This record gives sequence, C-alpha cells and structure tokens, in this order.
Amino acid sequence: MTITLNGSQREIPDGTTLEQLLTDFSLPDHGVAIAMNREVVPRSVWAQTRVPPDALVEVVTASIGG
Amino acid sequence: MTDLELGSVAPAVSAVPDAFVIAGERLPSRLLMGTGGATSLTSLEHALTASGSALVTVAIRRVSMTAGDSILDVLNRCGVRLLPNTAGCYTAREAVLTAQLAREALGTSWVKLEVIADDQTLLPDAVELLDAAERLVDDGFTVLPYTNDDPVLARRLADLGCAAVMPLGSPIGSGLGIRNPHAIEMIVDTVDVPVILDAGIGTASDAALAMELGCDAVLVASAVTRAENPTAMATAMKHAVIAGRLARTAGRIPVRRLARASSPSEGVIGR
Repeated sequence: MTITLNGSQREIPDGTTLEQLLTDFSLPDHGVAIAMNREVVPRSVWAQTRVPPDALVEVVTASIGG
Repeated sequence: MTDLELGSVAPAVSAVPDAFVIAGERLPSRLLMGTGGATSLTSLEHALTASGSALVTVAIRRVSMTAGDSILDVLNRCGVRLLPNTAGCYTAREAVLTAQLAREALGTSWVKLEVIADDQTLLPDAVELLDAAERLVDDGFTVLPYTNDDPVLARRLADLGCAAVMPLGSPIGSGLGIRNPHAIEMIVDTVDVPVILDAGIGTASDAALAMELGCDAVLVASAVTRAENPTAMATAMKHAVIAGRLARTAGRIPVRRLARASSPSEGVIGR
C-alpha cells in the first residue's frame, strides 16, 4: 500500500507499524516524534500502531533554527 | 580633596548578572541563542560556548537520512536547555501540532511560539498567535511567544498565561536593531512576566539597549551565526547583555538639554 512519508510517496507492506517504519527506512528512533494524519502518536504506542493506507506520516526532529 | 565627599565604599558589583527566572526555572545567562543561520555545527558550538547562553532554540523539521553529528549532539555537549520553536508555522493549528511534536521528540514542554503572517516580513500574525498561545497554555506548555512590539498584544499574551513575552526589535534577520524603543519600554512596564527582546538585533549595542530599556533577556541568532566571526560576536553579545543589565540597574543620570560641568567650578586659575 502507499503512504506519504515526510512528503514522499512510499510503498510499504500492509500491517507495518510505526516502529517498523522507522527501521525499514533507516530513520533514527531517538530525538524524533511522529505525526500521523496530523495527530501526534506517542512513542509508547509506536510498536502497536499500524500505518493505514494513504496515511500522511511525518517524522521530525530538531534542526538549526530560531 | 575639599570638594570631594568620600562616602562609604559602595558594595562590589558582581560582573555576573543576577538570576533570570522563567516559569520558576533559574537561568544563569540573560542571553538566549538561536541556532538558525549557522553555517556549520562546529562554528555553532564555538559560538554557543562563547555566548554563555543556557537556553537555545531549535526548529522542528523532517528528519534527514544523513548520518553524522546532529544539532542535538552539539547542544547536549554544550549542556544547554532546549527551546524548540514553531518557526515556519502560519496557523495556530500548525503551531500547536509542531509544539506537540517538539514535546514528544525533545522531552520539553517549553516552546518558543512563532506564528508568522508571511515570508517577506516574518511578522507575527496576532490573531493566530493568540489562538495558538491559548491552546498551548491549556495543554500544559510553557509558552514563550514571539510577538509584535505591541504592549496591548503582549499584555493579552501574558494574561493568557504565557511564561514570557518575546517582542521583536525589528523583522527577523534584518539587523535593524530596536526600531521602537518606546514600545519595548511600554511592554516592560505593562507585563509582569519576563520580556525577552527577540529578532532584529544586529550588533552588541542593540543587545545592550534592549537591556537598558528594561528587558529581562535578549535572544540573538542571525546576528551571531551570520557574523563574519560568530565566536567573536557571541562574546560581544554576552558582554553587551551584562553591560546593559548593569546599566539598567545602576541608575543612569537624567538626560539634560544643556551641559553640566563635571569639574569643580571653584579654584579655576585667573578668576
């Protein structure tokens, strides 16, 4: 199925969790936060949260700014 | 020595400024640093160290897959407290989500709230700013809003429960300094929360002026990170903030239209 990860369309297996998503795309898992369909998903439930089709997933961290 | 009064020796004034407290947290420096505009993490680290700042802003952006030292590694090494911002947000909704992501990613409920109106001026959008501030305060955040140099808006933000207000001296990154010192003084007189001059600082005298006007602290970013020598400018800013604070508390002389001699008028030869 297709999702949008940080602005890019990606194909992922059905049932992928947010925790797996970070691993599959070699994204860091500390110092980051995830929003799915414009809602924050707490780290404590990444392992149980499956990514639905057409999900809009944003994985963010600190960058220089301000 | 007949004209001199030798009074009691004044207590020594510490070169270290007094404590600065936001939301019950004591900060050892009244200079806040932004990391925006830094050309390398190495030069940023040197500048941060030179500045003595203990509270440093970061933006929240999509992760990149590039390996290597990250801004978080640098800030951890510097031992500073993080102040995530909501730079780039145009609506209250975007700003609230960004603040919530920052809290989740960085483990801090402090946020420098920025809700801007357009790319050209980067001026705060007052309506969206108030809306976002109210929602974030209700959600338990310690909110430090970047605001216009408007005493009424600053008071509204303070009344909502913001922990400080951060009025602009002039547009972000402009280096135009403090364009309306009277407005900044009015904000200082109007709100009970700390006033942190944010945006527009170009050089050390601007930071000193902010403190002389009664601001509790100053935030600088571009003025340091985009200076030819960021470490030197960070050092200058550190001293400017200390000098301005001391001058504010020292009780300056009143401004006069005409001269007032400082040398004794008696005993001039030939009279």
